[in-house]
Amino acid sequence: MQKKKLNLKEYAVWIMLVVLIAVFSLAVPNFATTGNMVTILRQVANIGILSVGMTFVLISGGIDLSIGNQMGLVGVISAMLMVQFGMSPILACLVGLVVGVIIGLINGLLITYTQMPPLIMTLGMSYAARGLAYIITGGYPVYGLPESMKWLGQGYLFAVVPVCVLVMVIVIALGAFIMNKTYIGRQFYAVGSNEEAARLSGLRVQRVRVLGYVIAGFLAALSGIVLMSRVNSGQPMNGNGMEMDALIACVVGGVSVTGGEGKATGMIGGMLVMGILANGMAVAGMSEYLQMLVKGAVLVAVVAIDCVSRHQSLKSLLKK
Amino acid sequence: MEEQNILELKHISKQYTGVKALDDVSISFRRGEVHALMGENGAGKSTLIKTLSGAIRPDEGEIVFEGVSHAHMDPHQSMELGIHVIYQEFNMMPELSVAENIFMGQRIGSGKLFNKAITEERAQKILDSMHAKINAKETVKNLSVANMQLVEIAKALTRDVKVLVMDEPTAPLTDAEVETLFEIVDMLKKKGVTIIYISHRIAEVFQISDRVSVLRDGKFIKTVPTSQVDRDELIRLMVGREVSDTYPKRDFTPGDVVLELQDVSGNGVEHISFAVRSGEILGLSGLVGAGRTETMRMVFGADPMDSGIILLNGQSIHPTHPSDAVKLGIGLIPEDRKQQGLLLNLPIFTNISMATMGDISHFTVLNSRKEKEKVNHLVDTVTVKTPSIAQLVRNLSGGNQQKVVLAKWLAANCKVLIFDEPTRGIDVGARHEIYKLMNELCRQGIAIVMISSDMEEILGMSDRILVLCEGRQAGILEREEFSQETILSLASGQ
Repeated sequence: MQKKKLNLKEYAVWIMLVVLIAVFSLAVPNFATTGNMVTILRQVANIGILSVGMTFVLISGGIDLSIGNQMGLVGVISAMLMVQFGMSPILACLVGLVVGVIIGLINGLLITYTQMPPLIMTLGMSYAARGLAYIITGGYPVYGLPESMKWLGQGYLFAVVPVCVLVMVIVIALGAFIMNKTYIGRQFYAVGSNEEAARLSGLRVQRVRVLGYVIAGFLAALSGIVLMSRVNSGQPMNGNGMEMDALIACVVGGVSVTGGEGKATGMIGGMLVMGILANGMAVAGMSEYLQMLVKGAVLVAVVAIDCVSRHQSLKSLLKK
Repeated sequence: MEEQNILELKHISKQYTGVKALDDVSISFRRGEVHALMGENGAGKSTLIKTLSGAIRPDEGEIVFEGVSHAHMDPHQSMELGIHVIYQEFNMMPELSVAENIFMGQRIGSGKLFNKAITEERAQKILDSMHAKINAKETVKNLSVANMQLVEIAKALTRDVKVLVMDEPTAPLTDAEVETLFEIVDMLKKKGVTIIYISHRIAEVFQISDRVSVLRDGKFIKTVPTSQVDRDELIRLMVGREVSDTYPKRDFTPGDVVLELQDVSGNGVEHISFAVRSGEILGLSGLVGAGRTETMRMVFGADPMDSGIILLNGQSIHPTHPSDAVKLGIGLIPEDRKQQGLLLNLPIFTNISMATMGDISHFTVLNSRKEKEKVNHLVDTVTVKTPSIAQLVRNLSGGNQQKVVLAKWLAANCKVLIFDEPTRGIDVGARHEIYKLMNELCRQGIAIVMISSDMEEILGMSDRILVLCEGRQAGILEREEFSQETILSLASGQ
């Protein structure tokens, strides 16, 4: 009985995905085209990369709300290094990634050593990152990126596969591999499931938690660079709010906000559900305001159903 | 005679999964007496109190209060009737003032709004009437433990308390504070309040109680006037049984000393020295809070140590984190397996390989075939009853969960295993299996330290017993000296 219920939960996101695709295909004429499918994938590329980092943090029992604004900060830093200091794109992007890692490290270290709630720390970092992005740019977008920089966000491999989608696929595959198949990934689940038990089994709990934020920071930076390339400029407000989209993708995909539970595959499902929902509604000509409303409703509905079913399975366990 | 009884429990039974916590218990309490309730850990005292406070409902029996019969209590009703329980863990809002805590949940004054001045004034009056030197305006978190307890009593006095239950009230107090408490108990008694007094300290029971009731294994044994019983008789009543042969025999051929503590202090314990040899089970006995778990957590690196030396195979070790201890071959099977030992929402194999993931992985990539082989082997060794090693641990029974924790350490090839309450909440059958496993581990030359509050278990399983009392070493007993009386005497500091 128990097993069946868990499977259902795991499949719920895929069922939703199939239903959504079916509904939009029937109701919206221009939805089910190859072109639009590629568009959807391109649209979710940034969220996808971001969500992998969020998944690591969530599984280890934390949360990172700073990743969205980190994208903007990293984007403008890399852009300015290229435009104003003439740095080569590769080097500038590497510096951007290092910035992401450092921000993640600060988040992680402050959270573990002061034991402050991750929500507060990363919320503070989120504001700080955006503030910094505005300060260094004076609030203006950074234009004039080298032509070669376009390839990452706008280019195609073999003329069919968008490079940014490829990056997302690689990141997700690597993330899923680490989560499921490695010692390091196992530790994230252990720490998020029961921190004290993990510590008493000899795991370096704090290191694991810090590593989660570092991974999230690194991937936020990567996502920020991809976005910078896609919009062909460093925009200080880039990525603002995307941490919430990533969070929603994770939660809809069955990653538990209380830690220890969730799979990368589920997160992919969640991300696609949200991506298709947004795209389908846009193609159907619904307003962005309506899209927001639906997004919020879907999030609440999914979590409510999950909580109720969990509560019931607990109750039935207690009755036994 | 009946007239005097304010509260009678008649044929109360309460069963938890597989365990009879209370088995047909009948006790009467008289108006204005101090009635001590005694028994070993797990005898059913707490369950009995919870029945009175309404925290749990008995399966059978009735509670007769002032002549009115109730099938069960609920917390609100119990309080309305005048039954008040002071638990070991106080029930207070630390950030609020003494006065606010005393009148928590009650409306003071006539207005609809909270009247701070009147509340404080009335609270102060109650405190003064108890001769307690506490300012009602003080924030509760700034009080000493003794004063918090007095506030708890004051809380009871705001209502028309008729029966006051005190669970181990003197455990955290100094001698002087105990005297103050006793004066208050005396004063309440004169007012006609019935005090149900739970304590492990025999001397105290003789000092203040009028009658004493003894529980053992959930059964009511006897109520006697305190004046007609002596200390030895009381211990006999509490213990009252032979060590049965549920404990499998084992040939003990002690090897070399594996783990040795020399004058270790810190984490609430002082000057602990002992040695465990390979193939030996050293029992660690003492009352709850005597520092048994605290001592072993230092050895395991889970809590910091202030001073002293720990030797492992003659080498000095300084574990500062559990990972150090694990690398050295020390394993801990913690007291609270759900909170400290298991990842409940993860599968068996994750739990078992948790401490040894490094061994089954190559450059951090897990070798799942190797893991499966290893885990399946261990699951067979410790006989976890499960259809699959992918089963989530929360779906296992307590006994099987404990075996999973044990298997985790077997995987790590530990030289020293610390068992903290190894069979708490585990049914008889699984207990026996765990004992057999412990014996098997001894045969393989592992040194075991077993913390246990279960008298039978500690006498039945240990080769030697170290008794702690209030953070200090009260004595080490050799097998010839084993007796429940000796352990109880040492543990209660007499």
